[in-house]
Amino acid sequence: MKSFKVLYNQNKLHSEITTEASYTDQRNELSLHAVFNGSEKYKIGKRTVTVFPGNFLIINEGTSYDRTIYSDSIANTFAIFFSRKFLQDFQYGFSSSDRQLIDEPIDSELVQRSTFLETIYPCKGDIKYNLTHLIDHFNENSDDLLLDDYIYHSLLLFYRLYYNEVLNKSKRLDALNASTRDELFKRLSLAKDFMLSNYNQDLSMEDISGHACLSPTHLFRTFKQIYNCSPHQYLIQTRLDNARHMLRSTNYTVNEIVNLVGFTCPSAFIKLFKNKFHFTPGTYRNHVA
Amino acid sequence: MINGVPFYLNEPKMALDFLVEKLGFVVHSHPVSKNLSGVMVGDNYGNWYEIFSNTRNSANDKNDFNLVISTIDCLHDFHHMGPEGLSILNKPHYIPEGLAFEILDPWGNKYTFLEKRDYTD
Repeated sequence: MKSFKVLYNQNKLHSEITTEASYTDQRNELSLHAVFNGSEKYKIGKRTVTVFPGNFLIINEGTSYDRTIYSDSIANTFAIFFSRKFLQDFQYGFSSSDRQLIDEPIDSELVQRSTFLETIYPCKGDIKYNLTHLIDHFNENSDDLLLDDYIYHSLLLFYRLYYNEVLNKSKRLDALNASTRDELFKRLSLAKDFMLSNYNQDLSMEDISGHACLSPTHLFRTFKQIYNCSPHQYLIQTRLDNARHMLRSTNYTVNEIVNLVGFTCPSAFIKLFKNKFHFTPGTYRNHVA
Repeated sequence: MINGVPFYLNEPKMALDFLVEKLGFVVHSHPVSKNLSGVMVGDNYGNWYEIFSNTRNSANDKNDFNLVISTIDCLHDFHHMGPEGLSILNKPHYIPEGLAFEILDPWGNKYTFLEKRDYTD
């Protein structure tokens, strides 16, 4: 099932629920692509990223990309396309009162930005709540002005996320000059995206560092500065987060989930899951999810 | 027995009409408070509030005028807020507990619409 809506101000919303779809050479406005079930694969230039639940992808205006859904379970995807005029109005009209809405330091220099690091961002907290409401109202065919409020807040929250996830985190690489720091941050983002896209595969440190064009030692040291954990720990956390999502939203057995998220040993998985979420996977599914 | 969160309002009779007519609240058919002086009203989300007449007039009691209304969709409620008789104190904004906005009725009672959000997930 596919739904598409163009709002009065040319913002667009797109929802698709399917197991199979393929679109090549897409080129749009600045867009946000989220997945709430299953997965969706994007090819941007030479790079391939897969978006799973709990994340979203940002694609800049004019970037060419291919999009593919090929999934055993039904994939539920949602995208917002921000029209250029909407973005310009947002930037032009952004004031101190807008800044107060989000209780975070967002400077006008950031708001003037209209191209962003095309990477996978976490879909958690306010932005997740906001997108969930937006999808509900989109499905209910609510009026454009209400949908537009949610789109406005989605953009506002994305700027806040960008400030925290990109600008603030890149400053942690403080020993470098600005251009080197930006390049290194991009490579670390490649490593992160590679893990988020392939968390269910058997990945080695060499695979990850090779993908980011960094030596394993350099990757290990700098990744920790940015994400406060080693690449291996990040991969384990990603697997656990996806396992938790599967416990909540699928009927797979715990043993099946162990394999699906890339673990090989069920007892190690259960121990790690309990350490992180304070429940065993079985208890979590039965009493918490 | 329904337990409601107690709130003290200016001009409670008119404020009650306001809650029912403008905000879609319902009044519980029978008084249920122990001292029978409050009126129980419910919002659209199954929350109950026990409304008392505000007899205090100290500026320090300002907080008692504020009725916090739990909502599950703050932006939606703000969007559908009728303009008549309402003063919008602020637009939906993010606070540590979630998303909130505030309005004022004609008698100086403040209502905070709060969509509580779980950020531990």
